[in-house]
Amino acid sequence: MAKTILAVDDSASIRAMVSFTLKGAGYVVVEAVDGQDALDKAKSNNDVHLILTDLNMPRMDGLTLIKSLRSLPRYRTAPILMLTTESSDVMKAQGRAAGATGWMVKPFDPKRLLEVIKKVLG
Amino acid sequence: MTEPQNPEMQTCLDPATQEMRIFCNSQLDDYFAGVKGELSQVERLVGDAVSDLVASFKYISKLAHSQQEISLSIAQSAVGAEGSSAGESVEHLLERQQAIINQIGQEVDTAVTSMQFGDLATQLLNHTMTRIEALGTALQRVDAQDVTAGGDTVYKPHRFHEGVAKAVTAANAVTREKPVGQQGMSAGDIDLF
Repeated sequence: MAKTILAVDDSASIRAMVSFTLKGAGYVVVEAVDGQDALDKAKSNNDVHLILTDLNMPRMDGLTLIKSLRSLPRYRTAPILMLTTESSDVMKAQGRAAGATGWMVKPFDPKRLLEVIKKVLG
Repeated sequence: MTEPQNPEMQTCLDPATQEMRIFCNSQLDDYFAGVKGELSQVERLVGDAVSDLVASFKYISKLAHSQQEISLSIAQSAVGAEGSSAGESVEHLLERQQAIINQIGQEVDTAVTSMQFGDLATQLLNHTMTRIEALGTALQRVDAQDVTAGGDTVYKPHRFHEGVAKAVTAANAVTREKPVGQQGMSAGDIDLF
């Protein structure tokens, strides 16, 4: 059965790139336009296997989203990957502390993105 | 445009200076509004370009899949009609076609990476706009005049320079670190924790 990935980004073009890449590899993709939208969709969808989220977004940023998801039993151990333009060690450390599984700096290479997702999904 | 915060200072300024101050602030407002408008225009143009590119690469991908299906049909027809020798020739053709499809796939991957420039550019533009706004606000607070014991208003160039320097510092303080570090469009680093 195809695994479901929640792709979160306020940029429509990035959501289109991510969806295209993931759907092409056979994943089911649920899109969210910001952290709050993602949190709502994560709560209402029982089949999300992995969350791929941006950092800087309106309404709710990526770090807050991760902390909120980690407080929910269903997402305590689910893989959560950051996909962001931010590349500083300070930001990465904050992501790690919030509970991120990994940190990817944009722009992403589709092949490498799929390799990472395959790896963290086990 | 905000007027001088200090009411005492405002009353000490002669009408002509006060008028000039209002004029300068208005000029500053117009200038920064123009710059902001231009940056917003760039943002719109980049957004349109990205939308078009997204549609294009999806079409290329669809074509590649169609080509693969056609190739398989040709191979099946050739084997059925002309026997094994013709089938081998078609097999070779199929290999070449597959290589082309793989190449198209790689090109699409490269396009996917490149097309993310829109997001990077948008974030940089937003950051630049914030910086311009912050500097504009800080510069409006610069006051290069002083009032003597006799009540005369005196222009103090050093105060002007000091004020501008403080304005830049204030603008830098309210605009956090640049959100995009990448200088090119090669794929970014990946760290798994």
